[in-house]
Amino acid sequence: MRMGYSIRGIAQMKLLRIFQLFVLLAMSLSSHAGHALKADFERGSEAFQAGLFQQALTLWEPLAEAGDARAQYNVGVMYAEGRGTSESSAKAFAWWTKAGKQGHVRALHNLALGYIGGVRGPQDYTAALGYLQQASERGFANSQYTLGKMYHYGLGVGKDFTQSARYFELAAKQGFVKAAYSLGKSYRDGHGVAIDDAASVRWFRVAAEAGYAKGQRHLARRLVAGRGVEVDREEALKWALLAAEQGVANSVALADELKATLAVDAVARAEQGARNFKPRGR
Amino acid sequence: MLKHPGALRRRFFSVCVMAASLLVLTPGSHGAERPTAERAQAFMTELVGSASAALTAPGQTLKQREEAFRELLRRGFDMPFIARVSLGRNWKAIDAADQKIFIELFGEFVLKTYAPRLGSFDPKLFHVESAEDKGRVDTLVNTRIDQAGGGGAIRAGWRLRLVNGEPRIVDIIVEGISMTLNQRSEFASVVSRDGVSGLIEMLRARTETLSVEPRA
Repeated sequence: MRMGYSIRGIAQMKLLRIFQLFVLLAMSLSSHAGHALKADFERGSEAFQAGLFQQALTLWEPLAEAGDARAQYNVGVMYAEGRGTSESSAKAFAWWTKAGKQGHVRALHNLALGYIGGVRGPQDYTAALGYLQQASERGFANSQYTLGKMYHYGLGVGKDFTQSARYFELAAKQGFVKAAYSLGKSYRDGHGVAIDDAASVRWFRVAAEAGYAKGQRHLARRLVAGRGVEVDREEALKWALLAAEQGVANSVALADELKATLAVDAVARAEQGARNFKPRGR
Repeated sequence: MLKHPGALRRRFFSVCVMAASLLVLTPGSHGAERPTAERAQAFMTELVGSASAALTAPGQTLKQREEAFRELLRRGFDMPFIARVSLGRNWKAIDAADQKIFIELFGEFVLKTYAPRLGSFDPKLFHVESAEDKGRVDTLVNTRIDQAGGGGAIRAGWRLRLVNGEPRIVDIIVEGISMTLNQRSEFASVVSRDGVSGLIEMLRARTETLSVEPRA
């Protein structure tokens, strides 16, 4: 009786072992398939970077058909931009919708922009807001910033500066430069937050240090006026020069004015500072 | 289905008004002279050739090649002028700050719309056929773009004007339809529905669409 039980036990163990081997084999095959899919995605990316758009599309399209969200998103971009294929906003939207259903934030964001931009008919802010909310809840800074803009201008929603400042801050804290600049303006104008010159300069500086020309121009002006920051005309010249370099027209006049009033060595230091400038985070 | 004759007359009238305003809108920076036919044709041939060379430049990333290409196009078009004409009578209704934002976004919008098309031109398939005077100060360069796999050729007219002594594109006419006037009618309907801020956000949305996912 005891022996019989043992034989049954051995048989069960063998069955268990066979099952384990089967699972391992399945996992191994699946892993190989996963590696192959990953390799195809990478090869598609390489082809895209080389400008071989048709080849990239040929590699990505089967992955997209198989349900890979990143490939679905990329194929959507290819159709939207008419790369390697004829431009088709309908196909772009179809692929982005599939990727979006899997929570792909860039796809959700592009769908929203498509509706704001009226790419497929009249603008539809309600649809756009829905996609932006989904991507924003997943922490996507681009969508948080765009939502901020929607509330700021009252597009598809009531104008609400408190919400716009809140979304700008969410995006700015993730290092989204335009949001930092917009938040600086919110603090400057008291839009959704109390007017706070020091806070506005802080956010303009974040944008300026990341290389955003408008942030550089605003920071330069604040350093000249001493609003929310100590007057520093030498540093102002550095930022004005950097903004001017990017074609911000008013900055050329400001830089010229500062050069005319600063000592020669201060001008030289500011120019050196502008030459040595490296945008933060790039 | 035939449109109502009244609607057709109104449409014809509005096209005439828009066409007339395009001819009249000549900013001070534009000289009275027009580009000679030879210069205008040479400009188009060189632009397409340089653009193609920029896109295939060796040893550069795709981003660098495309930026060089876009810079060539940016220099080839008179963006502030086209932007102003595209906005029509709404131009004067907005303040200087919004005008500046509009020109900036409009330039990006034109590049985003036309760069992929111009970028796909094979200079060997791009033929400058003729040039003719257009309006008071413009020269129209007529071109034919053959399709790589055969198929019907596309005919496009490039309206050029001298800006600070240099030829610049101020309009593209594809199969008889003016890009600028077509744009103007679309923009006007957006402005009437959502105001200029709606139009600005529309342009922003169209220019800020994200490209392919960065590599893992």
